[in-house]
Amino acid sequence: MKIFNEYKDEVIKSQVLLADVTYKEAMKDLFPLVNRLDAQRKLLDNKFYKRLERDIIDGCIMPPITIAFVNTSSEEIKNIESYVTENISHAYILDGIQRLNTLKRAQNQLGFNGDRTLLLNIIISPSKDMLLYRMITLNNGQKPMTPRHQIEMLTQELFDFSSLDITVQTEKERSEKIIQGSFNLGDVSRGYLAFLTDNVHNENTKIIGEKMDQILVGRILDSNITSSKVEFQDVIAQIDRLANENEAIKKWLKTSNNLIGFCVGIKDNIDSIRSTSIEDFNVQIEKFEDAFKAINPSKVNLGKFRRDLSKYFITNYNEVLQMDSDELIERFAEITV
Amino acid sequence: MSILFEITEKPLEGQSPVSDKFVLSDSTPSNYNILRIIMGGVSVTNNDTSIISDFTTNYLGLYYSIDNSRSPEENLAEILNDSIELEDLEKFFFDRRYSIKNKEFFNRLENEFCNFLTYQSKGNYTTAFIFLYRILEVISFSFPLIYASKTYDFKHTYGKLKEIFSNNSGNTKGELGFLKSAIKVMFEDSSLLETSIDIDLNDEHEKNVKIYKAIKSVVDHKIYHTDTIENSKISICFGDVSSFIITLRNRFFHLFNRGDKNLESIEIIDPDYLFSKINEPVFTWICVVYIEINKFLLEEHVKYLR
Repeated sequence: MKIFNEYKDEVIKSQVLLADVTYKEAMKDLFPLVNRLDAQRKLLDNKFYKRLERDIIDGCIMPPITIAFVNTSSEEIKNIESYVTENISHAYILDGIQRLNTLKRAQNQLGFNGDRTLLLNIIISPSKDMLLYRMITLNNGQKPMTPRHQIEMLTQELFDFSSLDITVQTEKERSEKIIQGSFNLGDVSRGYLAFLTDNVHNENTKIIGEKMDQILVGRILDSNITSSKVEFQDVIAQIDRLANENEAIKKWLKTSNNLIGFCVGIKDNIDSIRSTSIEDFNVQIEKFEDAFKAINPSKVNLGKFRRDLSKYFITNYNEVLQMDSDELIERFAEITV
Repeated sequence: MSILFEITEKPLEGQSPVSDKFVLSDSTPSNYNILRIIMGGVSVTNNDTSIISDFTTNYLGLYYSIDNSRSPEENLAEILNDSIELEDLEKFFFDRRYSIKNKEFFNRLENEFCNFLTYQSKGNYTTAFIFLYRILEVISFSFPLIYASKTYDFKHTYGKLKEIFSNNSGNTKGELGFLKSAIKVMFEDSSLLETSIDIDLNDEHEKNVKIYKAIKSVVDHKIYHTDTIENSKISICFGDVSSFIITLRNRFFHLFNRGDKNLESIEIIDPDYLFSKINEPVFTWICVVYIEINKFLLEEHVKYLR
């Protein structure tokens, strides 16, 4: 175990340390502590932790685990490192039981590397009351954000739209002054959600947020986003390139359902989209629109078909290039049966 | 069949009035009536007993976003499809060429729904649960068949039916098991299978801990969704709710000394209290399945018109 730094928490009158251990050490010294606090939650076995198990094998760094000691003697501990090592069997795990369990499961898998690092926060506190206070503030303060909320925030905060040639406006900005031809941030956010979940139909249901979040979490976990070669930034760059100079393309991409299909379809086909010229793309979307009209979708299926077909259109862009209108119509009709 | 229940409008507070074409009457088809009674805002009279019950709960509100100031048919349209217009919805429900199909079946189903909601609204939760179970029995074979028979392309129909039949094996075999495997097939793409129905046990802590333990002791752990919170919330995976209902019915209505563990009186505390926690989320699930089937029917229906 390596201890890096020492601080004093004046609220819970405790010493706070930053440290790290190897996975091997964690299994030997920390895992046996898992059952010490009776009140703690039962073990969860679910998708998140299955995913984390895989991520551990692939070499992720988990958020720090918090362990604690109760030291009733009033003196300050001088040699912290040896105190921790000697008393480790009396430590409590304040936060990270599920992570340790996941680590335990990962340990038995092929490719597990026991020398990798687990980060630790260590609290040495004068009483159990102080620890309980910390536990409560630790676990209850952080009500998790819903996935949708996180994605909306990320779209707004992380992506820099100001360097683009196209403009992106929030709902609020629109209500103050509409810039003609600007994209709606809400639509871009929906595109991002579709991109992350690999799914064009996140928004078509009226399912309430709470239930939708259960669905989205599953879709994001299943989507293998971390191994995708395409970043959303690249997608935005292509939208910018195609839409900026050509009004017809801009209009097409500004249509929410087209944008959603575009953001998902491009994941598997970014190279073809990168290499297509603006003129060619314009011709193709005209062909798309003709074919879409020709299959004559009823109002009921309008949105759904548009998302499905625009995704198909972008995913198979090179193939579509070779088709004449009739062939595309036929293909669209087949897909929508 | 003579009509057992008479259903009339009784708008909820703040709700826009139902437009003329959608007003409930003797001649509105059962399929539409069912959708309306599960949304609340109706008054139901049992013609044999003359007892009148007002239904005020919108069971769809636990799964779908509802705008309480709008009329029921507007909300219904929004839930069923993101781009349908009321005119088309009216044709879908009321055009005789379509609504005549399986008339008697839907009428029977309507009666069961009315009975459930009548006892539920009076607080007779145990009796209500019996009707919940009867609904499950009546839909278990017919919902999958309605679904399969309306598929536009019969090539898919064969595949779907085959899948349903071949999944339906083992312990859950039979009509009830048929629904379960059908739900897994029908909702394959919709992701509803990721969601759960939640039995909320947050108030009255001591009673609820007992109930939590009692239910856990008889129900297979595999059907719990990960949102379950010890002693305060039981979340059942969407695809397993029918198993949950069946198990609960079997373990509650039996007390043989041999075989599976049954629910003891000491664990149940008070049956009406127990089922007051369970009925609402479970019935919501039935409503969601019903809505999703209608959604599908609507999409397939318009394919014939194109």
